[in-house]
Amino acid sequence: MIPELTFDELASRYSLLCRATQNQPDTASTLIPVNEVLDKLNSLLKQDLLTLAREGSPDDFAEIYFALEQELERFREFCAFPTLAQKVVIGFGGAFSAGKSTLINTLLGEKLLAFEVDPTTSLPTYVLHGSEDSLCALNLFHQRVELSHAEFLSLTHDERIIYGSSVAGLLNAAFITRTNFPWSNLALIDTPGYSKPDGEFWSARTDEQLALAQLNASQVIVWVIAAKAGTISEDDIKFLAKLRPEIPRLVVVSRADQIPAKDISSVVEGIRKTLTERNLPVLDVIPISARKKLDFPIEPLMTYFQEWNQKGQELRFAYNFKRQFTRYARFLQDQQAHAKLHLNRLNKILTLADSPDIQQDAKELKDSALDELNRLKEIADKLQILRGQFFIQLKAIGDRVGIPLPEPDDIDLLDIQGFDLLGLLRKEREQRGLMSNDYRQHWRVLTTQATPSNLPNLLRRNPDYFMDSNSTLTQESAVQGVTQLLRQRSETSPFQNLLP
Amino acid sequence: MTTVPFNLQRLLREVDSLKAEQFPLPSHYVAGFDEHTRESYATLLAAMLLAGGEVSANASRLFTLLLTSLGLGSIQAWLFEQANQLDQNQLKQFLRIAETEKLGPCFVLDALILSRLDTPISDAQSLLLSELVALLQVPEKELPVLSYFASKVLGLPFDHELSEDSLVPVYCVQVWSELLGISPALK
Repeated sequence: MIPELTFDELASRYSLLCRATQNQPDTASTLIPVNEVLDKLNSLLKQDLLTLAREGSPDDFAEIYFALEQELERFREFCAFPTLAQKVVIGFGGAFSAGKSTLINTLLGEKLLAFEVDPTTSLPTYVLHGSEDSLCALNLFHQRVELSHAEFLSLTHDERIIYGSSVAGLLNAAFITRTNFPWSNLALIDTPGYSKPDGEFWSARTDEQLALAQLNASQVIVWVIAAKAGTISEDDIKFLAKLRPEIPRLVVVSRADQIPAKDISSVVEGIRKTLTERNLPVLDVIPISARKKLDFPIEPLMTYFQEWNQKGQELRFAYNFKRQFTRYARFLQDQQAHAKLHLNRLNKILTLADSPDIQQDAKELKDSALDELNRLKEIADKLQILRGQFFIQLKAIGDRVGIPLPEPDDIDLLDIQGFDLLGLLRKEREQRGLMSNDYRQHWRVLTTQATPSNLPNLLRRNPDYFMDSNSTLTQESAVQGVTQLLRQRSETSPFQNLLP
Repeated sequence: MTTVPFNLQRLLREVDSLKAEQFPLPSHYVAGFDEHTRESYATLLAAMLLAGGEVSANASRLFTLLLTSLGLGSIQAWLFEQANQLDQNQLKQFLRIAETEKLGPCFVLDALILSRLDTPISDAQSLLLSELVALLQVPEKELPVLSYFASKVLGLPFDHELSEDSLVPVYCVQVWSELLGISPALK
């Protein structure tokens, strides 16, 4: 039911609706060329990648695709606000109504964000320093929508109740800049509560996946727990376990004044202990209260913020995109390795088989394995081309908005844990009944301190050497002392055919 | 429009990386085998590198050069992942291949060179190499020669006497032939 509204109220809501539904960029917008490239990226994912996936993809492809889509969505937000890319993003996460917005307001000393947010209209909101106070949002058509602060508060709080409109559902993210924002290198993001609120309202906007994507893209996570909860919930723990472990986390116990002062230290200790036991390390657990600042001062939290403000920003978009493409590529490589092993075995059977029937069967199996291998290679090649195109476009956007976005090296994505090769080798040797020997005296010369003089040649850093390498092969002196130490595989004569 | 400034360091890095492509090592003896054999061989080399701790930039570059010489593409990251997940079955498979194709001395020579690239071979690396020598059943009399070739390839002094019956198969040094001043055609 639409409430009774005055003409002015109707006019202001109509104006807001028009802005929120705008699907064409302002012709003066600097975002136009960037949006075109973003659309190409979108098309690569939604058309080319999905088409490729139909030819062969891992079981968890849906997860890969969703992660890529989410990352692209966040990337759009960053493109709308390129300065955001230079900031260390502090993600505020927690259950619905844990006190995230209130905490940000307390930190900024200003009622910037609406608290007691309507769960159907909660909006991921970035707060950062700017040369002027401004507030805008990105709509579903990826257009920038300027908002007044009153509109923003209303959108995320009581717009639906007062005006009967859920216009916030047309917006993807909001950006607030303040000239007095105290940390020039930081941006705070208020994420939607990951948990389902008590009550009838629930939407994809409060979806766990959205909060997960936003927090995983942050450089630091501030996890907020309401003091009244008394401890960290199992849902919180499960959610925290899904976040990237390498992102530092700080736990804030909000509204600490709402429980007896004597209980707060046991709540803090309990949270710390539980997180340690569940192998979820945190930097600290800090109780905060906006009302009783003397009892629960904000300074310890501020100290962390000042420290993070000193740090440089590591942009993770290219890394996150590459990570997902690599998951797909790894699947194809593993499948190929399996097919190659299959081929290797079939080749052995073919070599050893005497019976023509067995040879014929093995040959058919080999042909089939070869077909499978070629099919996988073809998909892998297509994926590589697609990935290359994706990163060319990504880099083009980076160049345009002044953010370097080169394709990360595969090696940078590796997560290598320590493994016990020595134990593996020993176990195998023992199983084979072989003796343990220490042969190091034979390579003693390689255990002593000396600088290898041949490294530039060995590592191909000295082209002159290779240009002339043909001539060195004709010099007799080079051959002396080396060839005498070689024998032919046939072992007929160690020196036969060794000399020019 | 914002433009990204010219970055000399990046350009130099790219040129450096191009050199590795422009001047590859000669073909490795193992390059003549099927892909499964080549990948198994390279996985064990990757495992040796990882076992030594962090893989240095030099080791990574030489490993990449070796992969090219083995006829393998840019699969370094995948090989490191495979190496990190190496299990008893994969090890057995590799040892079976190495035994059948007589790749033991080849592998030990490559492993010695990779292990000594940046720093002297440590006690821990020596233990690993000793276990490999045992498992690959490389004759002990071949070890001084392999060590000699590793020293020559790296450009390290070698002042030990080699006995006259110290010989290794010629194909072992195929990939290093150019650095030893012998023709790859000797294979």
